[in-house]
Amino acid sequence: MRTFAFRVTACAAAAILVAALAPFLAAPAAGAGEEITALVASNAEGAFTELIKQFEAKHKGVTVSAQYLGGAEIGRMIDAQKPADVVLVGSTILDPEMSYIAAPTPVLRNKEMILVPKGNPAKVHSLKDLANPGVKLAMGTPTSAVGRLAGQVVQNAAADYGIDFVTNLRKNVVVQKEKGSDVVAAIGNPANAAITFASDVNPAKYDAIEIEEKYNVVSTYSMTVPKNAKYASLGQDFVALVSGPEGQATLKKFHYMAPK
Amino acid sequence: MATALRNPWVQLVAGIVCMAMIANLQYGWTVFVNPMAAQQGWARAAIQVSFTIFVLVETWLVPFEAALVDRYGPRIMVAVGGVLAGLAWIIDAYASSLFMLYIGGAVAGIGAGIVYGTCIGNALKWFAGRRGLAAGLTSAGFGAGAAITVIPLTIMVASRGYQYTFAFFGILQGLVILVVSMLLVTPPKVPAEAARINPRVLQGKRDFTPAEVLRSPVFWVMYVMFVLVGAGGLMAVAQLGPIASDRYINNIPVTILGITAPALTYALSLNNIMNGITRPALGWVSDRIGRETTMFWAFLIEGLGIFALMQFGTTPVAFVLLSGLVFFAWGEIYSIFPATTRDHFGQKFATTNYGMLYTAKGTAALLVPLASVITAATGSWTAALAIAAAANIVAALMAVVILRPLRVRELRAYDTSTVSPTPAAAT
Repeated sequence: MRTFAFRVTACAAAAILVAALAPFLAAPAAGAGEEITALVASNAEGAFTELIKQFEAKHKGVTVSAQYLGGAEIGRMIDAQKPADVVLVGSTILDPEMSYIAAPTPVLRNKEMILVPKGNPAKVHSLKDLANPGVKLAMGTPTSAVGRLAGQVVQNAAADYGIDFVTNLRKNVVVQKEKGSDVVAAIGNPANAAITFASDVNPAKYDAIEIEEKYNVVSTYSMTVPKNAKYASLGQDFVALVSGPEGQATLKKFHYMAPK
Repeated sequence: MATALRNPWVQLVAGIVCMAMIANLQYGWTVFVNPMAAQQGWARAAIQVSFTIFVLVETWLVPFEAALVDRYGPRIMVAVGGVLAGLAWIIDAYASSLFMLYIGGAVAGIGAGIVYGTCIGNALKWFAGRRGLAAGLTSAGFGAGAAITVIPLTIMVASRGYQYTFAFFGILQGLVILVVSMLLVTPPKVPAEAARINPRVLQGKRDFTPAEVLRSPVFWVMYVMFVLVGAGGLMAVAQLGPIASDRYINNIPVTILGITAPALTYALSLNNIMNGITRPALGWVSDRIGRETTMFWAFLIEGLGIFALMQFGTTPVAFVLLSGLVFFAWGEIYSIFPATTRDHFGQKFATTNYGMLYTAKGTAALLVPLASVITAATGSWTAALAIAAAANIVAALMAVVILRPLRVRELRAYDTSTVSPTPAAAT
């Protein structure tokens, strides 16, 4: 009888223990078939496609679901506390979001560049030439990062070249796109020049023309892990990979500059 | 003392001070949003719901609050409004949940609505010959208050935290309103300076009840005009940033009158200044040349100004000057419409009657998101601006083609002796 009572008590205790541990047993263990969510600035899609492969190779069983979005959209998602495990976006977007994220880690810098088709049919050799007649210019929309920064470059140059430079350059704009990749795609048809990110340079397809340093705008991009991340530890691992030597080498291959 | 208080200018200054004390509820709010988000962990979009509640309550409850003002007089109502305005920010200071913050927004809306409606109504009732100027100075106080206190507000939020600042300014503003409200006295049935009324300004002597006003075509014509001009102006403000960015001039420094600032910053600052100046300035003009004539020219200039901004605002200087012109011709709706309401519908229910018209501001605000829809659908701000310009030109024509003749006819129908002999003054 004592043995039976002992067994019942032991079973009950085991049941209570299992019930108490159930939430923890059901909790995901890092590296066991998880899918982490990454919000990535759209201009970094090429580099991050490769970086994600590197990360997944190092974390067997983990997949990264990346959404490539505009910076403002990512800011809105962080602000609305949408689920995400890791974020890459322009540092200025993160400034007002500090209550929702871990301290950001700068991982890359990007700048603007002029791209022209091989042979340079419009004879563009400097920023000033973009205002010349015959130039058909592709740019980002003012609401996109690529377009906003290009607009700032144009305005910086207006200090030396005058407001006519701005007016004439605007007349030459034939394409305005939201994504940097779409701006680049317009080079050759219908555009014969584009102001886009240095990370879009592709020597096999286009010639690149540097923009004078005093006019150019360098933007810093940072990575962070939102405080509500489901897989915060994996998110931090991803940040460590991108900010480490391997990730930086990949970013350099895509013409990004290292963070200061 | 009692005689001294019954001076229209004393009443006007008291009203302006009270208006200045509620300005932060609207214009100072933005200073608190980020610190609140950081400290409480609330999403900014969720915090802004409180501001939306404030605007809706502040606008849409004015007719009901104004009815109490017409019944109980300005002193008790402004005192209650002041207490509520102060209490609202104390609630915000101690809000530990979004629900409490929303309660604070609603209380602020009731308090600000009472003070706004009462002070405008009081100015309309005390003045006759300079009614447009009085309404304009009072409504300008709403903006001026924020201009005076925004810097100390910002400094205190940074140094003492947002909760302390809410509580400090809430108590301060509430107390000032409470004390100044004691200076307010019920206006006379006929303003002392009634003899000064310019014959170009149509006057009715009959007191319309709010129910009669709602049946009057004049009221609804004015309502439509208020919505057209109010929405048009708000749409133009919303498009200033996109226009400047699209033309690559937003950050180009502009120097005008010795002041240098990026073009967009300059234009937005000028907007605020012009919005304040135009209220008393065009209110004063309307006292001299007539309400409808002033409306016609102001709305026409605004409409043409928006077209000019679209066409010629391609250089930083032209952009700043044209946007200044547009906003100079916009803000006067808050002086001319209340003055016209009092002119036409009489003294007794002036506060309630303008309170009903004031809801057009809320209706106009509801139409503004249409601009975003149109811009998204067309991929450009051009269509939205063209609509805003057209709305102003339609309102300008309505002033002289519909409103003025309609007012003459309606006033004649009630009392031919009350109608100005110069109906053509509007043209």
